[in-house]
Amino acid sequence: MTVSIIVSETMNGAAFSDALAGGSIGIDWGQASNGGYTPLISQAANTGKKSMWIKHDAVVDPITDCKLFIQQYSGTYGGADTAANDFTTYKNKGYASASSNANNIDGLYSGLVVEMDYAVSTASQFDPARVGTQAFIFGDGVGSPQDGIDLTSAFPLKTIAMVYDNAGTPVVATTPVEGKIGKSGDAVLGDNAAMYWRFFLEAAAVTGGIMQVDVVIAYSFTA
Amino acid sequence: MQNSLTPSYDLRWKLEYRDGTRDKIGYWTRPGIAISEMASFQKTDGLARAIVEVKDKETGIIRTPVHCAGHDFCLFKWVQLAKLGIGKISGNVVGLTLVTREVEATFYIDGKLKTELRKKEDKEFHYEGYGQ
Repeated sequence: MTVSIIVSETMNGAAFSDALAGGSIGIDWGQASNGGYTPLISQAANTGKKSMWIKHDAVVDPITDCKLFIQQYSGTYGGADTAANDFTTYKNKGYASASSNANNIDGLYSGLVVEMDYAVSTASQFDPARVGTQAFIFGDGVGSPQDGIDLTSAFPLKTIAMVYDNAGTPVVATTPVEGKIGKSGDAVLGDNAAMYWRFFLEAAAVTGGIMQVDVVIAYSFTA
Repeated sequence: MQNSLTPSYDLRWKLEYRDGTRDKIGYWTRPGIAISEMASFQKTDGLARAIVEVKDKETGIIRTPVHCAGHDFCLFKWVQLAKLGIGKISGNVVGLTLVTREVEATFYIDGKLKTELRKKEDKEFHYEGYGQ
């Protein structure tokens, strides 16, 4: 039996179902303005983020070695350039990111970022000081083993993302392990991974238009 | 582009028993559906060898690049990639891992082999999962 991943916007909630340019269905991060980010509610208050919950349907064991990376968009491309160039742009933006502010008020934050701390405070979420430990910029670590741009350099799901679905109430897992999501009902490892996403656009960006990329999860399973 | 690895090989698991009469072989590059088809549900008593077999898609030649003695075998794991998006996603198999007491060895569909020592918490995962 293959093991499937189930992705939703809230715990046990609706699946992502955004209509994307080109005709595919997926996740629309939204529109970012120069020196801002998306989704954005209040830049001054550092609010606005896309939540994502991941669980699975394994029946024997937890899934293990869970990690995230981006790759060239594989849907019907509907962006402003090409799928290959968009992938390069995502990587370059991640590599160039140099902000000191979680809300990009200095205009130097750029790229797609995943914040893996389910319980992070509003003030600290996406803080550049947390990049590499709790938050991860895809393309950031060129020259290091972890930049999230292929299977080899993928970002492992951190323990701080692991949550147990306690009859509809999310509870932090008691003894989570990096990269492992437990079966349904596993309060120890947690049976969900919860994380937050933003796309940051640097103040100096000159090229507009829709960009598209695949976000991929790698995982191992028995049954 | 569903997976970022070039599929040059098919992969399957094989269990060889000492009595030579009841060897078990999985499907090429898929886990199987019935319990009798899945590695997780095969008996390990009398096991002589556990093997990852790989078949070159171009030549059809089958090799056994990863194997271990039966007493050292713990389990097989499939490695899969899935694009995050809509609801329930199965993705594609890209690797097969042979887990022994101390080492995990994964053969990928593009021909790469990765080996690593098992961590303490991984061993606990195995012993919890199978009650050994």
